[in-house]
Amino acid sequence: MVRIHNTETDEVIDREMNSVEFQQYEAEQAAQAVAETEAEAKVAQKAALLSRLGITQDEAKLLLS
Amino acid sequence: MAAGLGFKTFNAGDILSASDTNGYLMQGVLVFASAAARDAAITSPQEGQFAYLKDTNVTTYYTGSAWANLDTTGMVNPMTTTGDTIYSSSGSTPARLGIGSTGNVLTVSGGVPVWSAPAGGGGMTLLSTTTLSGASTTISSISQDYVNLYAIITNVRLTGGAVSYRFRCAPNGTTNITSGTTITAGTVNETTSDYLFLTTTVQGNQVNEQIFELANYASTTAFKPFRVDGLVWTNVQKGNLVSGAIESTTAITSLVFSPSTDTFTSGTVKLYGVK
Repeated sequence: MVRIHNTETDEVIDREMNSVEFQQYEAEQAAQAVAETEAEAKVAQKAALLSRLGITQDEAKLLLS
Repeated sequence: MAAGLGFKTFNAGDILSASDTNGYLMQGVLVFASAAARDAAITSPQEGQFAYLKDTNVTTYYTGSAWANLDTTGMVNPMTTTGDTIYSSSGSTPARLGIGSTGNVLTVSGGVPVWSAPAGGGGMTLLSTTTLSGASTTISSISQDYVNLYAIITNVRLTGGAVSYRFRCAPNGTTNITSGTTITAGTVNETTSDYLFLTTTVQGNQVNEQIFELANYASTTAFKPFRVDGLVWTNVQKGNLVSGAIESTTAITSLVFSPSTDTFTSGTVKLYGVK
């Protein structure tokens, strides 16, 4: 569903997405899922590296500051 | 004729003499066909005598040295309508200033008084209050009468709860016309030429409160700088700062707000026009 509020007439219309809008919406959902997967992987890699180095996140920040 | 003797009370039995008649009774407005007829009849006019001339419809009076037109002394009233005022259009020429419209103020234009609408002051005018809903919410037909837009966006949450998303805007429904740097808590996150992102990645089940300022939005010759301030939830609360510009000379007539995923379950946009 998408909402359109015309500020000139104050009319609010709620309608279903058309095919183009739905296609874009689904593409963005897929891209979001990929981005989240990559972000989770990055978090896991960071945790693994800290564990290998034997330091905490705060100690890593101190080193990089 | 020795007129102009003033006033006398005649008593019963008085004899009316020629001099009394000439001096007291000939003091009304005498009526003649023309100035020539007047001058022929009154060979020795007295100061204060009045004569009406039928050919020119003018009342004259004798000043003591000449006949003068009574009707042209003083100002001819130019007013015709309730609320009219009089001003001098040139030197001492009286002119009518017709009543203005309700709310008008008196000002000067071209050296004369005129009625006009009061000059608009600054300030914010609420253009619309919109509840965010669905996969996107469009605020359309935005008035082009202002200089900047100022949006107060509150209580933005998503249906899916703890979903990670980015809150974004597509001016005129168009992406790829913005450039900006997202700064959250002092950390530069990115430079983007995509949607106008109002936040970095935030949590859908936490409130998202923003102020969004867009300058020159109605301009057809200039780009539109913008700024976003507010509060977001990433994994913790953070101050949110975004700045950039819409790199387009097209006037902005609509704003399309959407989450990068999921749908709005709440959120209010109060859109103000600023002069």
